[in-house]
Amino acid sequence: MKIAIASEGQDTSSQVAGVFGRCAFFLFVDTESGAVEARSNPGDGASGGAGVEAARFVAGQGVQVVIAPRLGPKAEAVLEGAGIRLHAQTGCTAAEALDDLRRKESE
Amino acid sequence: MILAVASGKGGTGKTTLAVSLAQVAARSSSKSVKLLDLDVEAPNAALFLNPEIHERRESGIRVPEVNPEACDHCGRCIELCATHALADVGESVLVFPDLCSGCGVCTWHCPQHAIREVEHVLGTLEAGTAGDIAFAHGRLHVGRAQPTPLIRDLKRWQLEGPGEGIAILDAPPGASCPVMEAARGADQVILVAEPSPFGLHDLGKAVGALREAMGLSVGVVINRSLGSDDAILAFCREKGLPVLLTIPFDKGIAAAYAEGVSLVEARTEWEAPLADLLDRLARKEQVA
Repeated sequence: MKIAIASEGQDTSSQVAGVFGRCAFFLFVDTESGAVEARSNPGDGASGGAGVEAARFVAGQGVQVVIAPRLGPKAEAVLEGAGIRLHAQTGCTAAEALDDLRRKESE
Repeated sequence: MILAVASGKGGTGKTTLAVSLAQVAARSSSKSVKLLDLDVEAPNAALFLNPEIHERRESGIRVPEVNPEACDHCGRCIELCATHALADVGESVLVFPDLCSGCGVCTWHCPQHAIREVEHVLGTLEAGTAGDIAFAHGRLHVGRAQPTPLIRDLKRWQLEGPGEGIAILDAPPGASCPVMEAARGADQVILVAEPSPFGLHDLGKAVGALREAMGLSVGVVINRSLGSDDAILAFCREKGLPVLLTIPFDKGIAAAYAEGVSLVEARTEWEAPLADLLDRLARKEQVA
């Protein structure tokens, strides 16, 4: 499974970002290989439509799950259309959010 | 002569000055006078002028609609869209009309001709008269996010090119696209500023947008002066901005405003200074 985490920093010890569309980085995590790749969010600098830009970017990376506090209506429409679901998380590190997701998936 | 009355900060006195200038011009000048209220998110000049509306029409932009049968998901429209109004989610291309500027570049460049344009209404435009003043304003519908196309459309509808008459444009506040669209083509911009730190900060932003970025001729009217406007005067000196007029703080003006009575109606002694200001601007002499 491939996961995108809206993140404040470039590794999994970073905090999950407070927003989806204008987060600084996305951490792309491949749960099979354990590989983590940080990419800058192209929506971060947009004057408008940041949520759409970020959602398009994430969808283009072929992820199945997004970890973020919540989604705006436009980002939600894009991710829903692309068949990507949200695992809502806030106030924790990316690693903690991943653990939480794994726990919930195994239940 | 086209005069745009604008401000960085809101609530500095744009409308009361714009309305007063129109009233003075209608009384003192033989030229035709027009007032356009371009603050389409909160138009209020009509509260002072009580115009009779003769014409009304809807205004909007044309937004794309993608035919899923014809679309081959090449991504060209998404690549070209400057406002992120389109997203391809596999099965279909989603359109977000709230983000669209109506530029038409997606329709124009679609290799499959899969896009047609549909009307997206943004608001209502109205035109009429208030005594000798020709009046028009626009009103953005609640929930709509794009004032700029409405402002552009109102100017196209009601403003002829530079002519013999006097057109006064009551601009929206701020320093972004709507005020720039409102002031575009003006012979002179009057920035109404209040001598507070917030007022000075936003005056700087408006000067940056309208004079530095657009190259418009800009002058300043200080409103609600308490007699010591050192910071704003120093700013104007440093930037070479002419101070066109200073209006003192006067509770009577504010009380009249709250009753829908303009500056010049409440304080008739302002008629001569405003007529003189119009005269100076018409002769392109700015410095008071």
